Amino acid sequence: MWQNYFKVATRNLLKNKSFSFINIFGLAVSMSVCLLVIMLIHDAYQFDTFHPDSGRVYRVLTDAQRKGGGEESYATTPFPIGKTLAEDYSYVETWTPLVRRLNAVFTRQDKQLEMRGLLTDSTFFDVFGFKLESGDPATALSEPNSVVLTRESAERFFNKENPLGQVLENQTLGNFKVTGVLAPFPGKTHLEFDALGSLSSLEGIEQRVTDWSAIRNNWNNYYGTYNFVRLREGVNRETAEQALAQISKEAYADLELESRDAGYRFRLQPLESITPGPHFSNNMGRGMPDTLIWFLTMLSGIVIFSACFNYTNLTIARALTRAKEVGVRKIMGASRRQVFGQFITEALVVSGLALLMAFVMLQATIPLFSQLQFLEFTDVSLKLDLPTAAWFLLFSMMVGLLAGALPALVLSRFQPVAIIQKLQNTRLFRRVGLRKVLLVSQFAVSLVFLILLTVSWRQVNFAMQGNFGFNANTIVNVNLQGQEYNRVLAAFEQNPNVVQTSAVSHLMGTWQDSDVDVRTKPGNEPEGVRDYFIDDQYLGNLGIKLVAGQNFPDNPTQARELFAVVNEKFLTHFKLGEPAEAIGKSIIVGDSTVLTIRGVVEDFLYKPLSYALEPLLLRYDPAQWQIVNLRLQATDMPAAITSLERSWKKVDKSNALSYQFYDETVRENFASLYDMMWIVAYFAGMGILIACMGLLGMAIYSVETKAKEISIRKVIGAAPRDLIRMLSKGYLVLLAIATVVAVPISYLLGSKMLEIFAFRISMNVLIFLPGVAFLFFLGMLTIGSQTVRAALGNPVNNLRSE
Amino acid sequence: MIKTTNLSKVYRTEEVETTALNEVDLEIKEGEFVSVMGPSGCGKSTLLNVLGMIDSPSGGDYHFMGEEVGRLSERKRSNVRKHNLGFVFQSFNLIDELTVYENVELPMLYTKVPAAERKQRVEELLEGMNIMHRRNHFPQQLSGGQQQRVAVARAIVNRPKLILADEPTGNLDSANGDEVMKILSQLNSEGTTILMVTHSQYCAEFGNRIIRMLDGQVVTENLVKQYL
Repeated sequence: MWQNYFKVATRNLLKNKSFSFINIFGLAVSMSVCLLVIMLIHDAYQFDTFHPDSGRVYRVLTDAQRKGGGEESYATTPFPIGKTLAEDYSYVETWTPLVRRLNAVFTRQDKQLEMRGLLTDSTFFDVFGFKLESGDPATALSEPNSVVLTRESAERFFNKENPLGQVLENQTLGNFKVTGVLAPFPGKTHLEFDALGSLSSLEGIEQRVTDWSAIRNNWNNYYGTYNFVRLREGVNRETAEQALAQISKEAYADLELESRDAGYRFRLQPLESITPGPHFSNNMGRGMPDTLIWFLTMLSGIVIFSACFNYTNLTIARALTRAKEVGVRKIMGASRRQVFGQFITEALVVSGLALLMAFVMLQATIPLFSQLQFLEFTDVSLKLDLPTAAWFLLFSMMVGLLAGALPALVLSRFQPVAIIQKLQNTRLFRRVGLRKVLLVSQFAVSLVFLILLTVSWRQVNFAMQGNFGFNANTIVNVNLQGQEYNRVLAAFEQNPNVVQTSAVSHLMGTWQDSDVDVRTKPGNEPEGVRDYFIDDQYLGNLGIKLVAGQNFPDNPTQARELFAVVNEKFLTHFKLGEPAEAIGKSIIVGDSTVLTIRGVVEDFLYKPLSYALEPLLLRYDPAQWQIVNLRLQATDMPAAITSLERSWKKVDKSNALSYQFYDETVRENFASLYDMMWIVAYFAGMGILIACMGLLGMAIYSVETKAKEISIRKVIGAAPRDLIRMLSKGYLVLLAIATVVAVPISYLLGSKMLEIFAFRISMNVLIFLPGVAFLFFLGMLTIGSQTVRAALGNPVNNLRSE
Repeated sequence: MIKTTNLSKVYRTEEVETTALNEVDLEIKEGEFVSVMGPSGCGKSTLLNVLGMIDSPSGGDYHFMGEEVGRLSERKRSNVRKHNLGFVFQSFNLIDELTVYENVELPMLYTKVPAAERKQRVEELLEGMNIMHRRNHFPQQLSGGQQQRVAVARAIVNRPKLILADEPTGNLDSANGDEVMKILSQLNSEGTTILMVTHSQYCAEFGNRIIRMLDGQVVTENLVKQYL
């Protein structure tokens, strides 16, 4: 029987080549998009799949409730909460803390390398599926100041040498002895580290570095530790969360909380749902945010539904041509289920062929998508393996079922007697209204895509041209890489290409961020203000203008750390009066540091355009400087960079110069926006192509069914122009309705989208016009291709065949 | 085999109500060859469709082989149909996408006849109808007479007890028409009951009884001369 179904399906496809092409190509286009998204999503779910019993492993999260209302969730928790949970509650099988106290530059002989390190103990190897290729997991992290390296970091430091027993030095944290090397990771993980230090080193570190907030017994430090627990079998998450509530109730009963906090709630997050998962503060690792997965799924859903609708629409419209066959089959004894099965099989054959075509299209799309930066940010790659291929097949079958269900239902309902009676009388077109509604929706959705694309394109261009209020051109930022600021500066100041230098903690005009609590009086509620640590050359080098007061003094004998330079917005926000009045006033920063306002700079954008203009605090502290800004004066930039590299070699022989042109850095902040725009453009293109295929199908069909009418009209004197108008009018009305529907929707969505930008374009007619014009152009082209052919044909052909 | 009492069929649209069958009482015995005649629109084809269970009656009783079938569900009717009835139409109604062989084989797919037996039966029939050499052709590649022979082969491949033929020679020239009528007579002589609608007196006389209809009613019933 199936053989018979397949035979009829393929013969029908071959018989009606244009409709088959529209159906297969339309489905293939949308499927290629979906295959791409399936690959992305499949890979995004490959994080942390290699840990033993991972279904029972959880990360403890903190929900910090703020005094002013609202809540912020953190991936980190106070160290003692994990410890108490493990010690006091028997249903916790294992607990492993990961403490963020080993991020530092380590030295070994003449090599200096920056490492991301976590402090933990042997339970790490019990909870997680990482294996050691040398060293003993039971003892490697027992002794204080032991360190286990990843294979990559071991090679960076020691090349082919045996790392075991070697020592890595750091002046602040102490010296660490290498006690193990991890085998390459068995899979992707959200845990990002180059080294694991022994937890027993923490005591020594806390004694050496006194200005760090304590970790071990500190219930207020919920920033420094990732607590992971594995529950015993059969214990559910809610039970453990009740214990967390009990623990926190007791621990915070008599404790003074951080100034901005009203309380904390702790909960468990399954290890398996960390990546992809929601975004929390202090999240570790890359991985696709779940919102992006939803976004992509939604876009693919729209595109595939649109293509399925084309199939459904065309197949139902052309059902009349199959009525005789259905009738004969039913008279021969076919049941309704068998006829349904036959047409579903046909849809599956079409979706199978579309899958093959989509697969070919996918090969062309993968290289384009691979260039997108968000793949790197999210550590997701596009690769085809057996499970992905299985997903493809399953998806193609689902598409077949989705597209074929309605036509199969309609066709299987045909009564056998219909073939004996006159077919023309069969009322198959009761759903014409529904089909029009769907066609309008298809075009409306495409138009919304197009308009949103115009909005984002214009906004990104606007942002790129935005004036950051500081002069980033011709500045090269050099990363200090742990080198002493004075030595680096001395080396560069001798370079003839460098005309001016300055230093800063992190870069303005990027997403790099830091803030500090600020009050104007001790009793006031502290408020977070973004702060940068700069040197006395910074304002001059970046061309930032003072409106009152002075820059930081260049005299090292003065206590420059006790001064502050703020922007005008800072003054209005904290009600400090006019710039001239504010000079000399005091502010309290952090818990108790008192700074005197020495200068006021004019307001300028120091963050990417999505931020509103906010108060800004500029401080002075050489220990915080990470970057030197070198203003170059050179016509031959490559030569200038080579000379900078030579200057850098004088300071650091082992590490290469790490630099970037400032204007490029600023531009790169928009990479993710560009990526999103690219993706929306891609989906918009696909959506329109599919909608046009649907329109083409309907136009061919309507010209086919009206062939006799067209011929009669011609015979009685209609000119081609009249006929084109008659055939196109209905579709143009549909396009117009689609526009009327799409414009307000895209106005709302576009305005909502622009809300994330503090400085944004305004929505005007020029935003809508290109999309609408493009849609009408394509629509007319599609309809015209059929109507013109019909209007210019020879009337006798159709009349003779009648 | 067939017994109807007050069988009626009414078609309703928003404006008109048409009575196609008006309380028809009819009996057909096993082994009979009955021809139905009458002017266009008198209800001949409707009668054939209702008796062939491809249309349901609006009223009255219809007993087929002792069982009331007029009010059966479509699924049950389909089941009775595929095991007992064969259809031959004026316009052949072959499936264009299937070859001669596949068209004849089709009814056996629905009655789940094993593949080897299907092959044997189809080949026997095609040989018998003298169209074996056309087995791999599609219907459009055949002459009208050949198409109707394929349709007859398809109608009898499941060895039905009753063949319903709706103007089987209407689209054929006289030579091909004769050919088809001879095949039907042969089948009847082998025991198959035949109910045939026709406009042609010549064809009607191949049967042993002629029913004449007018305005949805049976007006006369006569035995054909040689059976008088």
